Amino acid sequence: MKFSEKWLRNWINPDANTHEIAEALTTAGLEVDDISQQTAEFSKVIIAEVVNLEPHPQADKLKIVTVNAGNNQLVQVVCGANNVSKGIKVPFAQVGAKLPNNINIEKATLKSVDSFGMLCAGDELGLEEKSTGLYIFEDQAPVGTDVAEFLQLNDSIIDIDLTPNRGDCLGIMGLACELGAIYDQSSSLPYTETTVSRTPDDFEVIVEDTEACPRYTCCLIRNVNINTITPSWISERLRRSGIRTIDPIVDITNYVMLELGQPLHGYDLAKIDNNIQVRMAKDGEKLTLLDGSTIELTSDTLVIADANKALAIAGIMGGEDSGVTTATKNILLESAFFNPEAIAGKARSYGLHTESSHRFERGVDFELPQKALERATQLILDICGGQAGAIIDKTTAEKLPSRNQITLRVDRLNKLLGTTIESSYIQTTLQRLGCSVALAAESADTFTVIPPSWRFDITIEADLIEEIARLYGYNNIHSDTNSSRFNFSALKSANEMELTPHKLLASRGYYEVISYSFIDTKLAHICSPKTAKLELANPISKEQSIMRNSLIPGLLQTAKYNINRQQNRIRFFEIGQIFTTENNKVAGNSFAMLVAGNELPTNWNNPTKTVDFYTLKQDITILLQSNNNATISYEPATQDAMHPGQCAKIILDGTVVGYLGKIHPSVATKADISQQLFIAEINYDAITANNIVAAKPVSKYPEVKRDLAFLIDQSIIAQDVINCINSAATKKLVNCSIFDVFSSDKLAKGVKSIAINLFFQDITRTLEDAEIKADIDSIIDNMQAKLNAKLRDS
Amino acid sequence: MENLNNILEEALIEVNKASSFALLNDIKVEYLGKKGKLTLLLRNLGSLSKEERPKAGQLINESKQKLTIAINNKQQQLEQIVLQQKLTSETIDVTLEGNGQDLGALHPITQTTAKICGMFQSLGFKVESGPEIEDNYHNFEALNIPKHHPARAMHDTFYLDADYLLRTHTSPVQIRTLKQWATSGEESLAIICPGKVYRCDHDQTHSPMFHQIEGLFVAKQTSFAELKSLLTEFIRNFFVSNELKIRFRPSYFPFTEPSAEVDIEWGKNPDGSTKWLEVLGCGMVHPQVLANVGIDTEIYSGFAFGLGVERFCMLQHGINDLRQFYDNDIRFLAQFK
Repeated sequence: MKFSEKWLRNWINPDANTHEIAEALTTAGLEVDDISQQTAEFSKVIIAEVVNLEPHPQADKLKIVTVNAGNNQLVQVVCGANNVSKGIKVPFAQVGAKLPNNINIEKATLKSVDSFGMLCAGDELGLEEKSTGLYIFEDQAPVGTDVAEFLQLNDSIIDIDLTPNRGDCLGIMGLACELGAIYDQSSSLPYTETTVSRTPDDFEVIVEDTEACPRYTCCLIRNVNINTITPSWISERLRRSGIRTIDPIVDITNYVMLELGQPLHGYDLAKIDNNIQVRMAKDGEKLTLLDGSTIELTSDTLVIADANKALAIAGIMGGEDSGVTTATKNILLESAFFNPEAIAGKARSYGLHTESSHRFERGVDFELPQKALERATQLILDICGGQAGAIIDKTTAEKLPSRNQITLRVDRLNKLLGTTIESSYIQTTLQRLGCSVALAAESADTFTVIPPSWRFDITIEADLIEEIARLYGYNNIHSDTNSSRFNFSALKSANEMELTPHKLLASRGYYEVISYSFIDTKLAHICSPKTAKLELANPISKEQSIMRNSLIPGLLQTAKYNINRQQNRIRFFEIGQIFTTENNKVAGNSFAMLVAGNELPTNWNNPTKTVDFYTLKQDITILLQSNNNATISYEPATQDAMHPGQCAKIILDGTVVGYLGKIHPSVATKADISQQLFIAEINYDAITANNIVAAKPVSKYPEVKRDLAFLIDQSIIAQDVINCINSAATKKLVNCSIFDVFSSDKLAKGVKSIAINLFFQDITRTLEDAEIKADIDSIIDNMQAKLNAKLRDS
Repeated sequence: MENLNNILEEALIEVNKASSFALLNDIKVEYLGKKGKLTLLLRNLGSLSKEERPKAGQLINESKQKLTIAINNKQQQLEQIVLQQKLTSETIDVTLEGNGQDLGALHPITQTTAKICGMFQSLGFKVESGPEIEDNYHNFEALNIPKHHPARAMHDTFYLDADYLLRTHTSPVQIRTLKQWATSGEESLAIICPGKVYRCDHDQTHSPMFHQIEGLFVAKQTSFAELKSLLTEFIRNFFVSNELKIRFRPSYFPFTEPSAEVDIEWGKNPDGSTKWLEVLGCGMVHPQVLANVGIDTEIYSGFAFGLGVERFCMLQHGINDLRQFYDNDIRFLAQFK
């Protein structure tokens, strides 16, 4: 809600400057977003009347104008505006005037005709964004008066960011009432409320849906002159509220809406067949709106219609056909109360948002329609002339919103706020807000309160408590910090969130990234072509439209972003929720890693080696070891996005928890990445189970190390070799590890050499050679039998 | 015995001149060895008279001792020199970089989240989380935001279908946790809920995905004053400034009543007035929200607050472009080691 400070001060004028008023409003919950100082950016511009008009002898587009600049002082001006005509009153920049953008007006000669000044358009004075002709004042404007003074340009525009519960402050009257409550001062109507003299001129109104429209008032006004000029006091106030002037009828209805908070609508009576019907739209009924768009209505939309067709969407927007035009003679002026529930969401469902819908969906005072109708009628008669007909009032009293009694307990209020506010303060404050307040019969400290008709946000005790709190001042509510149960001064080293995996990976050179949960359709398809995609119904763009079912696409994107910025060493991890089309849509927390480029930072002494499968595997193993004492193993596997020969399942205690591998070359190509990337994704919830380790004793007896080397078929994997050895040996074999693998020309084709360290130890005694030999023989036999492995000659 | 003095003097000069362990050893042999000059003198004592013998023997032994000490000293001296040379030869450029892996970093959002949650955890708040895809009930209705409520316009919501949406705030976690607590029989509930939230809004100051932290406290006795003091203390501790000006401003959230927004002083306006920056939303839990999950509002009351992690992180580190958080540029991330 943007408005002129001067206008508000016409209603209530507290002894406070602009900033103090803004501060007071903000402190009471009406947050002032902006105050812009309004000053005339011009000087020596006065109101002048065009008294004579002659064509320029040398230029078709120019005219020689004589203006009366006050006191019958006649001045000659050359003017090129197309709307200049005899009798109009316009802003006249005299010789010596200064205009915005450093324009100085001097005597000029245009094609040998002298011009003593300039007639101005609105934009030349900074009053309009873009003007189509001269700014024209109403006929009553006093010739010779300074324009800045006449328009009261020394003003501030206050912009309040109103919360949705305060629809009552979407008008100057409501704001004045609020300011009155803040300053304990009453506001007064700045105009004289007159009863318009009316003819019995009547019109049939049928309200079919009294639930949605409990009150409909209107009247006819005949013989209006629509081609008159809206007085500048109205157009200026509209301008300062950010509303364009259109024609006097629309300007006046907008003005009264801003002034009182009641949206009104004027119809061209000639376009209404027989009667007004307030009813729900018929499904598929079409209506062309004032903005030129044609919409198809749904049957839950309230419309204002005549005997044959819909004329307007009630409380939202009028129709083009029934709107007031320059040809309009007679109008029907509507001022109604529409139930917020009937309006809420409707504008949005048609992609509309209007000043009217904004107010009706928040709630407009249901006692206001007639007052606003009177005010608007009076202004129309004053400005456009005409005869007003009788007020037609269709009210279904029992359908109007009720304002029920609310019980307010003073002790409850003080307990909830942590205050000791007096009953008397509570009573007067609520009265200032327009509530009717009475002491409940049974208790001296309990009130029964009835909120005013303009407040739609006060229905329960807590709402009243908030009203008291905000006017008492949140900043006057204190608690004894020392007695608080929450004491940050006792803050020890904060018991931090579970960040062990994060910190472990950071210490191994990884950066944590956070990428968007919505990913590119194309990339989603590249990475997991077979999985059903969870799509947003209203994404920002196609690039952010699929809810990720894996963290890999995000990491690929991030890797690409950094590779494109010359990063030659990428180590990323991410932890976040992933999604599915099934059930509750959330598949759980996932964890993913990506490595690419150099294994170590480039420096004078680090080996330059690029990462491979085993780089990532080692980091995963360490991460899993640090977090969990389960048995970790890996098995060859296949995954859509991974290289079929470089992909493994990650198994914890027999359960597959994730995969690692090299990005499939064709996936990389499709994703436009030329580097070799290694990725892993693990179910995060499965790896964070932190079991307590059961310690084993350490043997005091020596460990015996033996090496064996075998020739085996190229296709046999290390895990099978280890398993084969373990199954053949006794418990004395405490560890075995592969320390060399190679194939070469010297070996037979399809054969590789694999060398193993074996460690034997017993917890109770020193092992004897014979025992170890027995195990070794058994290992060799088993390797021969199961894997067709031949012991190499040593 | 003049001979003895000459021999010793000569020997000491030689020791002094010795420049290697080998030369020193030669000197030792020459004078103190089996056939050494001083050894021979001792051997020749027999040629002296009985009276002269003890005196001469003593003198020779003293000389031997002096020479031995001198040789030992020289030995140590030479060792020192050798050690020095070895150390000099082993000198390296200690200003060259270390080897191996360097340090990565946690995302700054994670760090700020952990800092804030840690602060509340130290006060006994428990960390809770919830799904990022929610239904209308948990995200809106249970929080007193009925369909078509104008407050829904404040939440530009991403929808999946008629029922499911991306949560627009972390407040649904309140509902999920309150429901469990309502039947738990526990005295009070104190939770802190960090997580991603989504709004259909994308420009320089809005990201369609961002992070919130929600706090909730419910007990038999709590008050707005207590909420104020908790948040004041929190903000002052977070920004490590006891002087920081903080303002509580009435606002509106459908799920709290009274509601407030919290502003902190962040510089001055051109006209010298305080420039306020909104950092938090909070309030006493709306009775309807408690009633929705079956909590007796005559017995229990509570407060809740919610903050944007990005905002806190940006203020903490002087980051001015929100989008940097999601570009994940290593050059940005590497600053937060």
